[in-house]
Amino acid sequence: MKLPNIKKVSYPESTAEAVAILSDEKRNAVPLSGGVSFIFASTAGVEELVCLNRLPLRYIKKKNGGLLVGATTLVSELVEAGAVGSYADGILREAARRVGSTLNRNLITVGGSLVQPFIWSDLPAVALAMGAKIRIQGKKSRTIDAEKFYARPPRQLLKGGDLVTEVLFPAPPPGSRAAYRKFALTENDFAILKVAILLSRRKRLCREITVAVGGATVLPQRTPMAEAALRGKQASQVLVNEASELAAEEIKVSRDMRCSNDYKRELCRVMVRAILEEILLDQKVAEWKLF
Amino acid sequence: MEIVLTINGKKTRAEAGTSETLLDLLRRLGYKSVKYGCGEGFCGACTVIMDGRPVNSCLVPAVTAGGREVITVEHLGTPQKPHPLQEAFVEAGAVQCGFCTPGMILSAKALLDKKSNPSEEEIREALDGNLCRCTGYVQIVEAVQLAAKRMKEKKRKREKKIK
Amino acid sequence: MNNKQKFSEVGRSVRKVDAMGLATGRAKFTDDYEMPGMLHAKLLRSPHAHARIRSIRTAKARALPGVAAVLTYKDVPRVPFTTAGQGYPEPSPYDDFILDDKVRFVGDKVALVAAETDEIAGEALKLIEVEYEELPAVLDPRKAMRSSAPVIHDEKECYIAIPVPYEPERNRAARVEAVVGNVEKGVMEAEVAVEDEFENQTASHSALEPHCALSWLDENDRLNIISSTQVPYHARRIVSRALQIPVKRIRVIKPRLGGGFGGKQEVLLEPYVGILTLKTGRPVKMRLTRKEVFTSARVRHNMITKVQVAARKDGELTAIDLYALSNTGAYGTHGLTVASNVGTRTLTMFRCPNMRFSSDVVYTNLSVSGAYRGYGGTQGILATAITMDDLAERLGMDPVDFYLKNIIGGGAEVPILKELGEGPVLGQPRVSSCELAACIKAGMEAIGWKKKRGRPGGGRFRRGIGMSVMMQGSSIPYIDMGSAFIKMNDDGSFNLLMGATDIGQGSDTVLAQMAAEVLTVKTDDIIVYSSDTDLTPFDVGAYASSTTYLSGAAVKQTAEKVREQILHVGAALLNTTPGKVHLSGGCVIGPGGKSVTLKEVGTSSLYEKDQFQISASASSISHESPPPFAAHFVEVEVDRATGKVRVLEYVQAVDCGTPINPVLARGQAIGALINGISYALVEQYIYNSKGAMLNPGYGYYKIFCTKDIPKITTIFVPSYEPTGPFGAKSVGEVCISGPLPAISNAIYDAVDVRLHRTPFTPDKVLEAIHARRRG
Repeated sequence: MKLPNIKKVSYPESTAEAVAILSDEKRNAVPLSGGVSFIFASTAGVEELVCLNRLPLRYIKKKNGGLLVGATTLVSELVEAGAVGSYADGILREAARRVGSTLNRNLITVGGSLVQPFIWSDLPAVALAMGAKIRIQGKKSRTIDAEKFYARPPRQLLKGGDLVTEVLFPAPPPGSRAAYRKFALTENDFAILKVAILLSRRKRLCREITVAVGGATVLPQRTPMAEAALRGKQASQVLVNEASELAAEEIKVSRDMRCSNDYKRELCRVMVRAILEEILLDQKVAEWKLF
Repeated sequence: MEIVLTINGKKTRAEAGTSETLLDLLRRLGYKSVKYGCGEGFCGACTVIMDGRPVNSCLVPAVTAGGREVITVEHLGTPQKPHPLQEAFVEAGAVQCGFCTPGMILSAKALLDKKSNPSEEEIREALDGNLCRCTGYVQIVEAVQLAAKRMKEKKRKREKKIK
Repeated sequence: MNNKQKFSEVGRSVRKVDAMGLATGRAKFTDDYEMPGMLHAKLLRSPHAHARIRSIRTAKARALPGVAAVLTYKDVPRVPFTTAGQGYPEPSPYDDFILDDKVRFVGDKVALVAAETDEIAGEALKLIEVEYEELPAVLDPRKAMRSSAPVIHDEKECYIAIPVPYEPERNRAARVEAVVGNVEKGVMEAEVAVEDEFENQTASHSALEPHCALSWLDENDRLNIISSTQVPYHARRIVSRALQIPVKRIRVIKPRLGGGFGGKQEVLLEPYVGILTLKTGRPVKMRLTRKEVFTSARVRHNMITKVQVAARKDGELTAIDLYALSNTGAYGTHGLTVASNVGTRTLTMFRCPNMRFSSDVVYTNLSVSGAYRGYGGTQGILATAITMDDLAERLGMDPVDFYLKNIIGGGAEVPILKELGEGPVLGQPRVSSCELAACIKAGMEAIGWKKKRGRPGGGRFRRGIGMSVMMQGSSIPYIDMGSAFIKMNDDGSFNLLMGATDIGQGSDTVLAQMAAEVLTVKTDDIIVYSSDTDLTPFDVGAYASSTTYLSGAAVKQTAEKVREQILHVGAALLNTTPGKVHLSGGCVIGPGGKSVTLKEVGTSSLYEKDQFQISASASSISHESPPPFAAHFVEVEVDRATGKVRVLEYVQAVDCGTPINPVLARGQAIGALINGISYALVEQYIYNSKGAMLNPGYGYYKIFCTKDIPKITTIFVPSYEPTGPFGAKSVGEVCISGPLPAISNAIYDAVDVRLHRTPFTPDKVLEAIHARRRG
């Protein structure tokens, strides 16, 4: 960690105050939430740190069947909150639970994890699968869909002074099922691959589906072909197999030193299939066996 | 940059270096139980309890530690008057080289503060950020169970007395 | 079992003597020491696998405010030495220099800086201008000895100080060959023979404490070094050689150590802080970063092993032929001895008339290998235990029955040790105690071997069960020496001073228990001080599983001498003769039950009559290296869709003689086991095509955490080693070697594929499953 030119640390108590500091170009200020990504970041030009931990952004609220999560909420608070556990089959809780270690989860914030995705980040894939809406406050405050937010490295979206303040995980549609699975070498290893799926169904009819794959590239990605193969169809094992094969083919994979790209594709196929078997075909699999 | 933080209950004014982490700062101030093991938030040797939660102090820029409440293992007990966790770690064979021990004990304390009767799985979860190469963890988990049991008994006895 | 006596302090799980200091954060490790005016040192590391330094300019670095010294190869003595902390003369080649004009691996040292702060030292490194001439590199041990391969040690100074083959011009750092009987004949006599090849990966010890050293000149101009070392005396001698200053001018002190596992049996930092202190006159501290520990400290030898085993139809072994191509990396530390242990730790276990072991140890431009818990046994047992599993299957035998038929028992003569031992062998080498058969029986019972074996089930998840047997040694006979000194205090307590090096394993405690046993006091009446070359007598240090056995014998003898003196004083106080008194329960007891306490004895000896210091010293060398044995049984579940292997249950049964402290012995056995399972499943060095390690951090070099631990059962079978103190032999290393082959065998039981290359990561397992399906 090196902040050779740091001159000031400020602790704004309101978002407006934070935005004002961050948008003042002369101050060369950067926001700091959990601070975990700092050891990976280049910080030579930074003259001011804007600590966000006094902003009133540490909350988890239920909203119309969805969840409203403040940006400085700790990942461990997601794990602990009852509302998160009961949201969408616990998909967000499961992803949060698998973020790094307990010690890491006590530092990493939801906002930081969403804005600064690494190939190992767990929350972005769930945000993408659930169609999360990310609230940005700045000179021009706005709300961006996760899909657009992750079309490019999110920081490119953020102009001077912009701050991600909140994320809405919308209410899942009626009759929906959701699941998040992470495949890693050890229990708290960086994932080799993770898959988040949200679907709504009536019996075997798959009405709507979103498949998000993380860990294949830095940004989470949807698998439109696989989704199209299932959307509006009567699900069957054959269709599930087909869809998972499509997902494996269509994802972009960047090099991972630990395994071949082909292995990641195979993993994608297996994981998408297994999740679909579980939440679409109702096949029972003991939970600990999943991945 | 001058900051004021609370370390082991003591309000402390300190000059935080611009490339220092909280780990560096604490060690420089003499809290040597906080160890450097990896500097990347993976090993947990630098664990401190900050504002009630155990964290990797190597990931916290020192200049941002102002206003924080930090607890290191020095605060828990002394050899003459150890904390039940320290007692249990010693007894159960959970201490081998002892380099990870302060961090382990702090993670375990944070758990027991929240949950007096944790399951084995919850203990493993709570300690998952603290690496140990000596013990293979088995005796560490046993030590936390032992401490939990004793702390509960103590509490029960105390409550009985009050009644 | 024989000679089993009832002990009072030995065999009890007394509290580890240093544990409370550690648990309360009071205990000091090297990095916890500070000196006024202390400088911080850093090494500039090579970005190239193999290169010559054409020019190196340090003016800018020297000019940086706060920089106290910048040294290059031009500024340091050019004396070849080895960093391997072994007995003298070391069986490792003298092929290293403090700094050199050549670099031989990515992470090799280039230049040395000392500055007022760690940060300034880091800045100074960036200001050193180096021009390299890149040389072709050897990145594959299989290609190291080819005539076309670049020579890594082309310097004229390198040599080995003992009479063994050393051919740096062929990149061969060592060669081992040992034969008993006639292997070809043995294979001819066999009805079934199996040949196979294996490769184990490079791995990091991952002691939680990174290497650290602090040096200063005391008021007498002597160089004092506090170091995180497993080998204080070897460190003193090697520093003396490297810096060309006399041993008498050096003091090495070992404080608490944050684990070693062999990684700190290397003198990696002491010469550097030492030379900086000599040049600047100031205290200097150097602590490796975790990244440096990965890239520039030592690793487990990567080896390619080839093995042939042959047996008659009834399962009797007729031949074992084992070859290891050992990759020692850029320097030859522990090259010869780790290789020879590949043979020792495997062939010793079997009653087989025809055995051969050979090995080539080759230089490459990769991470430097060194001592690592298991020390060749891990590599050898990987090869033999999988091949024997295969052979047993081809014979239609249960591997358990195959082993029971072929392993040695107590009192066995082991002719191969004559050819392979590290030291001189007098007479026919033998193994006194061996309860390996009991280990196998206890382990198979505990895991339910018979009912679980060969029942993988159907579907995606298949279960399998596998086993392995293993052994280690206890000290290096005729070479290793340990000694101790005990003095008595006026309150009846004792100071035990010894060179034996507690690195976290608990030797201070175990050795104090032994002294307490002899002196009939409680362990906490023994005040332990270990490993300070000025104050404690010599000991080779913590390696070769020697401390309990060898240093223990020295402590026991020392305590016995002290006991004699106590009896003399006690007898005088009781107005009788020493022959008529005995020591019991902390009292000297005379005729008619009259007694004096140790406090009275101590006080009398120091203050009252014929005053003298009750004290003694004794040394011990070993004549045997009694092996501890273990049998491992593991049940796994293999996901045929992803290749992921999950360890469900692990049972280990261990013969370590008398466990002096059962809780600590169990800790050693489990700690080694988990390191072994973690190594088998996830740990690995990943290099790029230029020989640079891509994953030098715990982010991508994973070791097991609490959540990765399977259900473990550890059984100590009753055993008594007649040559060991109180029946003890070693327990520190043996259990690390079982998981590789046991898990591979279990995977085979589950999904019918044999894994030959470690670690058994999901991608590798899946590939093997697919390859089998393809046929």
